[in-house]
Amino acid sequence: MPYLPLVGFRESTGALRDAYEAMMARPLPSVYRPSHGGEPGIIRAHSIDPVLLPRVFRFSGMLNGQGPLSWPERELVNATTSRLNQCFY
Amino acid sequence: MIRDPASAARDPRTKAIGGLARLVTEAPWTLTRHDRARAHDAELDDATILHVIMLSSFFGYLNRVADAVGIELDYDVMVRPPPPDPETPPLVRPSHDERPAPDQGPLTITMRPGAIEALAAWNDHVMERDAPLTRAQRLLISRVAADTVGDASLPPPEPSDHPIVALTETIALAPWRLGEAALAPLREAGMSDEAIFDAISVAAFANFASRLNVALAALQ
Repeated sequence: MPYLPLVGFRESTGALRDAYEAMMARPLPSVYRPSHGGEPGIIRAHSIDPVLLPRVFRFSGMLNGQGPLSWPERELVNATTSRLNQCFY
Repeated sequence: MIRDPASAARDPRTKAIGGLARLVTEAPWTLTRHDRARAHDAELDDATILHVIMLSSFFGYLNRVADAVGIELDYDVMVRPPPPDPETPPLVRPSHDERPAPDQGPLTITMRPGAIEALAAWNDHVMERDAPLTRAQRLLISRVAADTVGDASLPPPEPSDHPIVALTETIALAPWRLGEAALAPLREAGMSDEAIFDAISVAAFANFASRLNVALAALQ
């Protein structure tokens, strides 16, 4: 259970709803879409601050949408970082 | 391989990418111009080295927010990652003498299209507000986070026993110890959920920004 009250897309309203809809309209490889059909947890983790959410993922898109690292190389960087930080994400 | 994804790599380029990500995550101030030269030898150009450093620093932000907020694994994975071990010692922080001079190194984020604009938009929201946290609290968190990775571009923090200081240090140095107990002192101090998330957001952002600053400054 999260330690803070997060709001998912289905329950969202107002500015958060708008932020979620903008996020979900982005091109995203299917492998990054959770099989439960909802938004990825790392996006929901930012739901307390609907203004922050798109700014963080704009930065993410700037790093992940293009090279020079290939997609598998980007995954290697992310997986190496996560393991050293002992994070499952 | 799950514990060290780059360990299975055989080719020099992949090994170099994994090695750089490890240095950025564990001790960014230890990078030197020799690491850049070795990366060049492994056929990584400067734009690729910059991409590794920026991506690893940013993923460290996502890791820290994920752990501090307590989201759960929601992807179908073939092998579940091992759980965090709270007994793992905190990351080492550099001594004063180990901090790289805060001068511009050979790589800057201006070399990556769109980076300055995206970072400025993020920074403005996180640092240039008066609520829920005050600007003084945002600055305190930034200085504590800078100190943990040797970012000499900010002055050292003033001594403070506010619980945001301890939370920032845990986020920066021991994210595997994050959990409800790490947030409890902030609740006991009367902070709202919004203020606690604000503190998490500022601390994780400041850790990311200082890690990136230090890694790039250290390459000179």
